[in-house]
Amino acid sequence: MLKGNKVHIPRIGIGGPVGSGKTRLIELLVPILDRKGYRCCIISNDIISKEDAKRLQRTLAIEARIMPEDMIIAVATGGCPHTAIREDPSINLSVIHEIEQKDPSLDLIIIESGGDNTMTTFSPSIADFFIYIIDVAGGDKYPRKGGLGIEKCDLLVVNKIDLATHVGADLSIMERDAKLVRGGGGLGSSNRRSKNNTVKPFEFVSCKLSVGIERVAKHIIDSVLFDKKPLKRKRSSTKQMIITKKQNI
Amino acid sequence: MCVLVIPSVAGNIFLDISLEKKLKLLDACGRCERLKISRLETERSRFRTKTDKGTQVGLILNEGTKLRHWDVLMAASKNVSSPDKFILVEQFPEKVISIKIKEKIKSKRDLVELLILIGHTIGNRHKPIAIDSKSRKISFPIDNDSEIQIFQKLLEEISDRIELTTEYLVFEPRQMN
Repeated sequence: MLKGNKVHIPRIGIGGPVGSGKTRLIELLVPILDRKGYRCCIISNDIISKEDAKRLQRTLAIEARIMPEDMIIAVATGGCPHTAIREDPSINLSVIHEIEQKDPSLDLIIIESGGDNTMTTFSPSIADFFIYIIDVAGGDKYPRKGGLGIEKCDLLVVNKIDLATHVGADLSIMERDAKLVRGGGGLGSSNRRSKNNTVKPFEFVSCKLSVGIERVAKHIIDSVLFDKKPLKRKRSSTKQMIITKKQNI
Repeated sequence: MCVLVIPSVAGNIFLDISLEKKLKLLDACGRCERLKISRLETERSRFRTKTDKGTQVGLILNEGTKLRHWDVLMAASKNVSSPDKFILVEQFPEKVISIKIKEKIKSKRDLVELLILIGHTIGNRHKPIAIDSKSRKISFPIDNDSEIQIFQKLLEEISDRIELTTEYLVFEPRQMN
């Protein structure tokens, strides 16, 4: 677990196209994990702006008071978002290591990728578990068309199911195709077929209606936190930190 | 469900004769469990999976540790009446494209140009590679059979100087540090 006294806090990566709901999913996941006693930190990647991190600071730190603002960190990748989470993840790794030194008692680090294409994957060096999120507004062909993100992620999340009827997307087709590309075999690829005949998980959710988010949280707790019960902590210190910051402003 | 947390790798069958002997003994009495994982999982330091005998395993390895085909994981049993766990890691084989440079290239300049072109083509697809210098071969995994035609097309102009074949094997990528 430790190498040179270094702490490895469990990490999940969340990737997906622009507008698929990555930030909103985090806004809904963190309160659920917080209620269960897990303390999180968020690293939000954007190409140039810090918009998503600022939004998370406002919603989760200032409004909901779930976590301190300094536990939501913006990373401007300056280039293709997937390079910063796969080919050269050094910028994210350095932030992760800083966090691990600053607060080794954290339960989870959530790394949000900038919006990218369906070939996005996370390097195993920065994420222990990889969630890829798409939305039904892209059409019900989306899972079938595949791409590394859709096929290889540990959990595929299909968001905005509340929009399906409005955009003419058939959820049963998306479910059938998700099973095919995520290990059920088919679509002409030998490497797509799961060797132990299991279908990698996928969840249909609506972030807008808060449907299915608990199931996503359960995947994280089971697969990354190994059902570990969080330490009992006083929440007051977090709140106090935020109040102090506000007073300083 | 209870998860068996394993914090380290005991060794590798290829490198440790004593482990190999132990494996044979335990295998004979059906006490060895197998953990079949993908190449991507071998690169992870923390993940949950289960063995062929259904044992739930949570791996928490040193950061940077990569599991290898035929690594052995051992976990001491908490229950005195049940034996320790001996788990053999088996990486799934996968389809790879191998590009072999033909012997007939004599000019250094031609060879350098050829290798740069191949490296550029594979690199543009973000593929991990394995290099076998002795047999002048570069291999990389593919996710879809359609990639065979793609690479044949991309490398068409040098097709007289290379042999492009597909294989099904346990792929160990060259480590980039």
